[in-house]
Amino acid sequence: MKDDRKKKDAPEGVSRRNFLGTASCAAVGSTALFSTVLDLGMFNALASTTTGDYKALVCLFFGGGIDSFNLLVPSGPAEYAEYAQVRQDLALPQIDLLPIAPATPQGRQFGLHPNVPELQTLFANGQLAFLNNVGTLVEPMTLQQYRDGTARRPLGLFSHSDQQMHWQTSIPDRRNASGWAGRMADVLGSVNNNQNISMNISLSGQNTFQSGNITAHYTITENGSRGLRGYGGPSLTDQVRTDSIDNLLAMNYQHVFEQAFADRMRGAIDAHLEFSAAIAALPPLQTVFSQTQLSQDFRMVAQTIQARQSLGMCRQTFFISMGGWDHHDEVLVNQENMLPIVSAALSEFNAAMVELGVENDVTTFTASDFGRTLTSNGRGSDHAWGGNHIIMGGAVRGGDFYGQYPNLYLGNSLDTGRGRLIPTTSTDLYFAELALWYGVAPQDLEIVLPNIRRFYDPASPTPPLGIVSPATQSFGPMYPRGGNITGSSRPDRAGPRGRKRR
Amino acid sequence: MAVAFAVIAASCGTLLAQSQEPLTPRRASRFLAQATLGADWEEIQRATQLGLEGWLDDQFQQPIGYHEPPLQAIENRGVVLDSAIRRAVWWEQVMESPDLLRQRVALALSEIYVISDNVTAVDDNVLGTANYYDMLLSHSFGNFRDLLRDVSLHPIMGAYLSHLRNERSDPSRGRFPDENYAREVMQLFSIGLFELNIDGTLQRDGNGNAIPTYDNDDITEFAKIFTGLSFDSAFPDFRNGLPVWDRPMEMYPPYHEPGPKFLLRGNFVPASQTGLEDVESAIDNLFQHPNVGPFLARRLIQRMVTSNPSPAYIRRVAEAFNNNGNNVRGDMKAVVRAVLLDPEARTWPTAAVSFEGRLRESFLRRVHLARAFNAANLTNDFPIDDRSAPVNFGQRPMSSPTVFNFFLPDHQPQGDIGDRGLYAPEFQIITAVTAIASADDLESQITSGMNRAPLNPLAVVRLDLSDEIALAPNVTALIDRLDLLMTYGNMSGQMRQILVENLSRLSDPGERAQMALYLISISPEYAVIQ
Repeated sequence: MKDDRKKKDAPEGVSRRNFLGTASCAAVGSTALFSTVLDLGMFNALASTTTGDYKALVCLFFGGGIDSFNLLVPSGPAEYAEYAQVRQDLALPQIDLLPIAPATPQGRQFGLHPNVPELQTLFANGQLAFLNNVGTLVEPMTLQQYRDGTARRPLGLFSHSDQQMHWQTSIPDRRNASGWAGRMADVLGSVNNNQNISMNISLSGQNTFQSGNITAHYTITENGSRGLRGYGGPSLTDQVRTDSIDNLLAMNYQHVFEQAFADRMRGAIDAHLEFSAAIAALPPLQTVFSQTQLSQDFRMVAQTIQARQSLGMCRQTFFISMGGWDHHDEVLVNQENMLPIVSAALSEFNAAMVELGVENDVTTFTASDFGRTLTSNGRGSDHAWGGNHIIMGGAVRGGDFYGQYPNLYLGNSLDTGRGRLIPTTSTDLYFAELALWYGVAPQDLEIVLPNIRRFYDPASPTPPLGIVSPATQSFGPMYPRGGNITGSSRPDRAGPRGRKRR
Repeated sequence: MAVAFAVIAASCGTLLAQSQEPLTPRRASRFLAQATLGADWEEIQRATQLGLEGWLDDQFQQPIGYHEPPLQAIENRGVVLDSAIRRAVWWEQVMESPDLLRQRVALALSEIYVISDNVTAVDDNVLGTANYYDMLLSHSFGNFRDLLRDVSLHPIMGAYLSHLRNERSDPSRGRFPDENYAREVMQLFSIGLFELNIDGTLQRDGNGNAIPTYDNDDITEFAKIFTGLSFDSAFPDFRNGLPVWDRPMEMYPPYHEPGPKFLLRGNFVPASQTGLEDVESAIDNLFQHPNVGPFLARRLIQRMVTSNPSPAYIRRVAEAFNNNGNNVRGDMKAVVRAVLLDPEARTWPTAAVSFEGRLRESFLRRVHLARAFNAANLTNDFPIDDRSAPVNFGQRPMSSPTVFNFFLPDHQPQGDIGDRGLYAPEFQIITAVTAIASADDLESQITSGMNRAPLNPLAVVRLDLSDEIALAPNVTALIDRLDLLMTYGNMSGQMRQILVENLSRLSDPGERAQMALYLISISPEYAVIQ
C-alpha cells in the first residue's frame, strides 16, 4: 500500500503541458503569429471569426465485450465452413450475410451481420473501414510466448473491469493509468481557446478514456448540459438560493472530499451557462436522428461540433458508451436487436457531419472490453481477447480492412483455447494512428501511448496502420516547449478560476 | 498514503477513550448516519438513551422487514406487479420497518452482490428480485458462507450472471461451460484479484509484484462446477421447466460437468461427488480463503463508514470475520459490530485538513431526507417515483449499470483526492450532470413531494417539515435543528453564518424552512459524512 498511488503520474512523463496559450485554431501552426501575439483578448477576438483547423475523435464504446466475429463474418464457401464449424449454434446463416468487397480481401470473402445495412453502404462508399483482431497487448506475443510466459500478458486478461480499463488507457501492464484521450488533452488541451470547458466531452458519465493527469472530461446528456433550477432567477427566492449557493461553494473547505464536491458543483454550474448558450444559438440540424438513446447521444455530439466556434474548440474528443454486449446468453437475438441501433446511429451521425461540412475533420471509432470466444457455451459466448472494430469518417480510407482477419478454426496459431484469439494488432497501434491524425506530434506520441515503441517507431515516415489520411499538421513542432501549465480542466469544473490549493 | 494514515493512528488512542464517553445526540446522529439509511429526531433521541451497544443489541433482535411478502400481498389483490411496484415496496420497508441496521447492511450487500433490473430477466421477475433482496436481508446478520451459497444458487443471480441453465461441456459440438459466474464469484464476491494480507494490503512476490489469486484455468474449472443448475420446477426440466424465481436453483445431474475439478489453493473435488456437493465444496473453498475477511471488511467499511480505512481498521474487522470470539468464521453480526464500533469509525472529525469518512451515496441523500423528515402520504403507501433516479443520481437500488456496481472500491477522483492517493468511490457518479440533477431532484422532494402528479392527489408523498416550520421564525433555532438531523451537529461556523444571513431575507416560515433544508442537502458539508 505504501505509496502505490504516487507512482501514478510519473512513469507517463506528463509533467509538462505544451503551451500554446489561447491561440485560435487558425493561428495554430503559424509561428509568426504566435510569436507576436500572446494576448488573451486578441485571440478570443480572432477565434470568433476563424473557420480554421478543427478535428474531433468520437469513441463509441461497446460495454460488455461485443461479439464482433458475428459482426464481420467470413462468407466464402471454405471460410464460412470454418466459421460455422467453430461457432456452431452461434453461426449466422451464410445466406443472410450482407456482402461487402474490401479493397484488400486477404484471399477471403466477407459479409456483415444482416441487420447493419447502413454500415454496408458506408463501407461501399469508402467512409468506413474495419480494423480486425485488435486488442490489448503489453508487447508483441505469440502463442508459444503466451504459454511459456516469455511475453507479458495484459493484467486481468478476459476480465471486464481490467480490459475496459486497458482499452481506455492502452497501458495494459498497469492498473492505475490515465486514459489516452486524457493524456492527449494534457498535451494538446491548451490549443482550445476555451479553457472553461474540457477538450473531452462525455455523453456517458465518468470514464477512464478521457481522464488525463491534468485533464478531465465534461459530462453532458443527449439533451445537452444541465443547469441548476432557479439559479440566477429574478425572484427573491431565487436570489437567496443563488447567493447562498455561491457563498457555500466559495468556502475554503478543510476536508478534501468537501472541497472536491464544491468544485464539481461550481464547475457544473458555470460550464452549463456557457455551453447551453452556445447550443441554444445553433440553427437546427437537418439530419434526422432516430429516437434511440445512441442516436440521440450522437445528435448531441453533432450539435456540440456544430457549436465548435462559439465554444472556442479546435480539438475535441467525445465518448459514448453503449452497454449490454456481454452476451453469455442469447447472443443471436440480442445482436439482432442491438446492431440495427448502432448501424442507424453511425449512419445518421455521418450524414450530420456531411451536412456540417466537417466529415473530413471528424473520425469515429469503436472500442470494447474484448472480443468473445469463437466457441459457444450453448447459448452465447464468453470473454475473450482480440476483436474487430469500426473506423468511420471522411478522412478514413474506407472500404477496406486493416490488421489481419484471423483464422477461426480451433487450435490455430492465435488460439489460446476456446477461440480466445491473441490480437494481431495492439490497441497502441490503433490509437497511435488516431492520435497522429488528431494532431499529436510524433515526438509526443510516447506521452500519449507510453508503450508505443514496442509496436511502432514514432519517427517512422509510414503511419502505424494507414487507416486515416495523414494529419494536415501536427501541433508538436509548431510551438515552443516548456511553458507553464495554465487552465487545466478540472473534473467537470470551469477552468482557471479560483480552485484554492492548500 | 502512509503519511495520511499516521494522522488516524495518532488520534486513535485518545479517541478510543472518547468512544466510551456518554453518547450525546450529535454523536448518536453521526453514528446513525453510518448505521442506518437515515434517522429522524426520535431515533436520535432513542439511540442517545440506549447507547451504541444497546442500540445495536436492540437492532440485532428486530424482526426482519422482508420485501417479498408485501409484494405478494399486492399481487394477491389482482394487481399485475412491475418493477415500479417493487420499488414502492422497497421504500415502504425502508421507511417503516424497525430493522434499520439490517436494511442498511442489506443495501450495502446489494452493492457488492450486484443484480440489476437493467437486465430484463431481473426487471420482469419482480417477486424473484424481491426474494433475492430478502435473502440479503436474512443473511445480513447471519453467516457469510450461507450468504455466498445462497447468492450463488439464487435464480435471479443465475439469470443475471448466466449460470442458470449452464450446461456441461460438449466437446463434440465445441461447447464449453459459461464462465461468467465462475469469474465474478471470485473477483467480486469473495476473494478479489490478488492475494491480500489480513490488513487488506497486497502480498508481493520476490519481484515486488502482486500475486494473482486465480488464473483463467481456475475459471474454467469453477465454470464446470456451476453447471447443471436450473429452476426448481414442479415438473423438473432443465431446459424448459417453468421458471420458479423464489426458490434456489436445483441441480440437474445429466447437465452437470462430470469428473473431478480443481479448486483454488491445491484443492479439488473428486469425481464421485454430486453436483450440489461440488457447489458446496467450491463455496467452502472460497469461504476458507484468507482473502475473504479483508476483502469483505474493506467493502463494508467503505459502504458504511469511510472510503479510506487504515490497514489496522481492516485488520480488526477481518479478524472479527475470521473469528467472532467463539471460533465461528464468517459471523456477519460480529463483522457489522466491528465495522461500526471500531475506534476509527467512532473518531469525532478533526478540524484539520482531513479526508476521514465518505461521500454520501448520491441516491441515499434522497432516502435520508425521506427518513429524517418522515415522508408520508394520506394513502399510507409509498408510490414514490424513482424513474429519473438513474439519470439524476446516477444510482437506484438494484439498477446498477453492471455487476461492478455504480462505483468501484478503488475509484480515485482526479485532483486533490487522487493526488493524495485516496479512494472515493462515490465520486465516480458525481458528474456535471448528476451534481446538478440530483440537487434539482432534492429540491423537488422538499418543495413538491416524491412522486410527481399521481392520479390520486392524496398519494403525494411529502416530507413533514412541521417542526422546522414552527421553528423557522427563529433562524438560528431552525439551523440548530437541521444541523443535528443533517450534519450531526458538525456544521461549520462559516456555513451557519451564510445560511443565517441569506435565510433571514425570506419571511415566510414555510419557504424559509424548505430553503434551509434544500441548501443544507446540496452543501459540501452535508455531502460528506466525516
